[in-house]
Amino acid sequence: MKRAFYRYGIAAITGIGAISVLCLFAHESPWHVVQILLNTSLGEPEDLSVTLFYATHLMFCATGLAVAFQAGLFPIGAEGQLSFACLTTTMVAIMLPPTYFSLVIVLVTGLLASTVLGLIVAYFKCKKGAHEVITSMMLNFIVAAFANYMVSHHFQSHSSQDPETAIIHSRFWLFPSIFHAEGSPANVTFFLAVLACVAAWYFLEKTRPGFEIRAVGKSKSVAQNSGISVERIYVLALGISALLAGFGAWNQILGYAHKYQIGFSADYGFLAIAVALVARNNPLAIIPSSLFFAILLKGATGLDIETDFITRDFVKIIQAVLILMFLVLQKQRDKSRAEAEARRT
Amino acid sequence: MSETRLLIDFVMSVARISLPLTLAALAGFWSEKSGTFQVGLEGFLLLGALCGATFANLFHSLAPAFAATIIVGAIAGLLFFVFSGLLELDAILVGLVFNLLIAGVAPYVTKLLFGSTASTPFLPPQLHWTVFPYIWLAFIFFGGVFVFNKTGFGVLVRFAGEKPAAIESAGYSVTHVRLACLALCGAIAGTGGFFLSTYLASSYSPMMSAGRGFIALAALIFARWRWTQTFFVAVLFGFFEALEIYLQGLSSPLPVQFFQALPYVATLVILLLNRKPAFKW
Amino acid sequence: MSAEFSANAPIVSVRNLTKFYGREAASRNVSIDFHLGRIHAVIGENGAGKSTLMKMLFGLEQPSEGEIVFRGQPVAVTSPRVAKGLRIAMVHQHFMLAENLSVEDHLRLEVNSRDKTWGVGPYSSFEKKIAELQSFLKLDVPLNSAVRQLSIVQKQKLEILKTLLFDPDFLIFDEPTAVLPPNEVEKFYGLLRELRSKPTAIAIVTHKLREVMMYADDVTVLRRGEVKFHSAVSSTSAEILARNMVGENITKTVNDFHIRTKGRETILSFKDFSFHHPTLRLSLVNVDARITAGEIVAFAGVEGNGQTDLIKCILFPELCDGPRAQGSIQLFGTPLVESGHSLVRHAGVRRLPIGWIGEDRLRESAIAEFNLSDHFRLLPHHRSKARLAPVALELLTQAQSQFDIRPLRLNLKLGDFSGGNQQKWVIAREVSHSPRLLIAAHPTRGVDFAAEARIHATFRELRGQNKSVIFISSDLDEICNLADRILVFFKGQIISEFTPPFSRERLGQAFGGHV
Repeated sequence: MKRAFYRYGIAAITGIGAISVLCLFAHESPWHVVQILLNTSLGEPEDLSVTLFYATHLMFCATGLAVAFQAGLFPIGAEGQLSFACLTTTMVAIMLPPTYFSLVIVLVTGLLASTVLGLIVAYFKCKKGAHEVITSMMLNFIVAAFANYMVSHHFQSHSSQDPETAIIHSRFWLFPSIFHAEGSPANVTFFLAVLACVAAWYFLEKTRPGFEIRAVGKSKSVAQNSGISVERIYVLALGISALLAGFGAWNQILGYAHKYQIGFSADYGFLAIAVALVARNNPLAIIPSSLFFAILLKGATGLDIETDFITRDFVKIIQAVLILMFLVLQKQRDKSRAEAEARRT
Repeated sequence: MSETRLLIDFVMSVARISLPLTLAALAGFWSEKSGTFQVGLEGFLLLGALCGATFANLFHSLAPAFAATIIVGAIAGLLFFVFSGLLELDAILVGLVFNLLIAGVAPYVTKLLFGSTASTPFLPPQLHWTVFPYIWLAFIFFGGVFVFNKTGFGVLVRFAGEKPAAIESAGYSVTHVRLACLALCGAIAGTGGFFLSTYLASSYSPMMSAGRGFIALAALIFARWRWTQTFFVAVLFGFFEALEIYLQGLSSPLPVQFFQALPYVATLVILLLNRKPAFKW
Repeated sequence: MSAEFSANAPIVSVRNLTKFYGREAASRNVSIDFHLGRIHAVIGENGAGKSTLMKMLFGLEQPSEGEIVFRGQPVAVTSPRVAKGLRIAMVHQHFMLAENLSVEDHLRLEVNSRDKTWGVGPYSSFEKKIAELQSFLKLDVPLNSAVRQLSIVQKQKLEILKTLLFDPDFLIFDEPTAVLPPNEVEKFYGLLRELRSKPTAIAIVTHKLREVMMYADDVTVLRRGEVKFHSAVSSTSAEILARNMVGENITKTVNDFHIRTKGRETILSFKDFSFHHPTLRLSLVNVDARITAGEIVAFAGVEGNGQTDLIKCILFPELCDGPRAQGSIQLFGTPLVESGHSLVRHAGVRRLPIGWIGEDRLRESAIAEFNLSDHFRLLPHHRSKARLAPVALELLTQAQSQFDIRPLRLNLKLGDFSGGNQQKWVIAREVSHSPRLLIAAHPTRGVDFAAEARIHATFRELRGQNKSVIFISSDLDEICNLADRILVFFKGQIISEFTPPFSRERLGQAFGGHV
């Protein structure tokens, strides 16, 4: 028990120490950096709105990833799934007339698109034995190139110089803002995201397929011996994971930007991996974890302005160190648990 | 311009562009073959590019900058091993975090040393190698052939990736082997990045690795982790990139994004050709 | 000062060798001599201390007391490298080969390991010798062929070749014929005879009495870590050896519940069932057996002779879908396998009133991180609805009192319990739906004495309710105490069936293939 406390302590001190040293090298006090981060993300309603908007993206992606991680899989395709969902949603919204029927299509298209990507990864995993890290990574890049092509060759907006599509019809602007400020990105999907996290938790803990996902994640062999089909679980987990990432299109396209912009994503899909890791794959813990990382993300913009030598990229270092600390702590915990078991049996 | 002149220019650009790709892929070979899945090539490349431009500016000379880059790269590889080998964290996670870390460290360093996060100051035209990069590549390539096939270290690397228990039972230490391989990976990939900022360009600019680390990984997978094939696949992917740049100026039936996506699609196709896995117990 | 090494003195001796693991002695006061030019068999049941002894000779373990004497000098064999330096070599039961690498890769590694080189190494100077050894062993494969292309016999020859590179004086073989098909066994011993005449001293760990009587020169019997008997093979017999392996001559059994199986309902039957799965190395030959309601049947024999294979076929009938399967299996009247084709898959079998306890608890039957409710849900009966019903508290508390599981808190995870209690939770789960048949593989392995008694009592209770139990064990005490019938497996066949009263000596012989 005492040894664990020391380990936590050492890891925490090393992490905080490393970041503080870097701050000091840049002629800034670490405490000042923290203040800037908090101020820029939570100070004004406009800031809070952006923070919540980021958190929405992170929640959708991370909770999907958590489901897949709990099945013992490691897909890193959330970024591509999100982009593909946003792209297809925009394309459909531009191409269809603004009828009620189209509303349904627009809502569903993104989800379908991202799920298809997830099922492709599942196919490669189950039928070809290909590792999901590789296949999902490849799909990320392929989607990026495809989006690039689609926007530049077919959907480029004529009223803008930036690589983006035209704005979709206001009939499709389905999710109103939370704050009544101009250009405030946070919208009703924030609450949907929280709901999604709760739903994912319920699914994993209280339903049979959720149980089977957890069993497969803990031990494929024991799960197989209990009559569970590992292949089916993989398809389910990867499908759900991709589906949840697809909801990000509701947030981004239907709730805020109303157009597809190349490079809209502040690496949400990638950060979501960290969010899920820090939350130990518990969908309920992903809610605070997403907020935390959203604060870091939004707060980073303040670093540029308020300090001389530290830029927004500094946050990446903080994130990296945080994640490493977390992984090390987790590993220590698992190791000491395994040792205790070995001693007992 | 005559057509042969055009052709020679194109071939030269393929060679130039393939340089960091092949070095990164060959670097990743050592890591993967010895059992450490390597998605951090992107970070190593970026680190090498940063070192190249920074040290060249500081030393006003390429040779010491090159040597320093190798050392920094090797140390980065060692650091990677500390997390993936000693602390036994998942290599994929370590690689992703490593990329993130370097992406954050690079602007931090350039801001501190040069006052900007855009590019480092341009290198004067005298500081520009023409032949050495290719000599270095040949050295790495043929050196690798020799070391992997003829030396005891090469045998150890093979076993480290396939059956580490055999190494232990023969009296060696798997830790030492993997450590050496990661240091090697970091150093070689670092030199690939070095050429990015000092040969392909004349300065370091943010995110200039531009996904090449992942293309290098794709090349390794596509070549099924064989040394010589990896080299040629990396050159092939470099060819695609050169083609993409060339076509940007012309109107062609195939969009440039097609070539951007090609290495990744090719990798998926190769994975498709795998046989169905056997019944898993 | 080395004593003059005479031709009759043993080349390797162990004197009073003792090895403690914690407070348990795996080897106790073992003294054996090994001579050049003789094949010395070391035999004993599972857990008799044979592997421990060999590991100490090869430097994989260090003795707690006693000494190893080599050519008249005491030596400390601290690692396999040291052993190889002393010209001691070992061919393991489980090959240390990498399937995807080539024969040459393995030889290079072996050659380099002597000096721990990372450089070019002395391989080129060994090429001639390797060619000679290849023809000696009749291992005519190209050096660049991948290990996975080799047959099992060739793989063993490769392992032997590796050991012969440095001209060992003392060769140890651990269960060498366990993996060989019957027609290769004689060839293997022919090879041993040639090696013996080099001259080399050969030690072979085995449980095959027939082979020992036919091919070995000397034999030592170990039981519970001690030397029980030693003799030249020519002066002893299989019966004497078996008796020394298993203990007293008297038949001692606590089980006097004698059943006649005629007229009782058949729960499970095998008719002329054979199958062979090359990759998973499962193989069964002409199995004909019947399990009836209300009996406890032991699948006995040395591990790896088909008991587990047969169990796997019952639980995973889809394994039998292959060209070499034939015969049928019927469970509760429903055919699982017919004419070598499976009719039901594992998920379907698991939904029948059958319980299964795997031999490697944490790899087959239980997840340490699961709490008790989740643990019970691993049984399909407890997760039949899409929305998981909470596992009834009464079920858990009842299981706890029935099996006497401590500690009494129900909010713990499975890994928080001791090994014995974990096993009890697994059994509790598997009997919680009143199965008609319980299959248990090594149910009391790694379990303390009190838990073992509880588990045995549970089996008898099931029998009292007219349910059936099949259990796999290699422990003769457990088998004799518990079983109503014993089926002895040897090389994938049921070679004999015993009913009470049981003769331990005849059982021991049957284990060794000697009927």
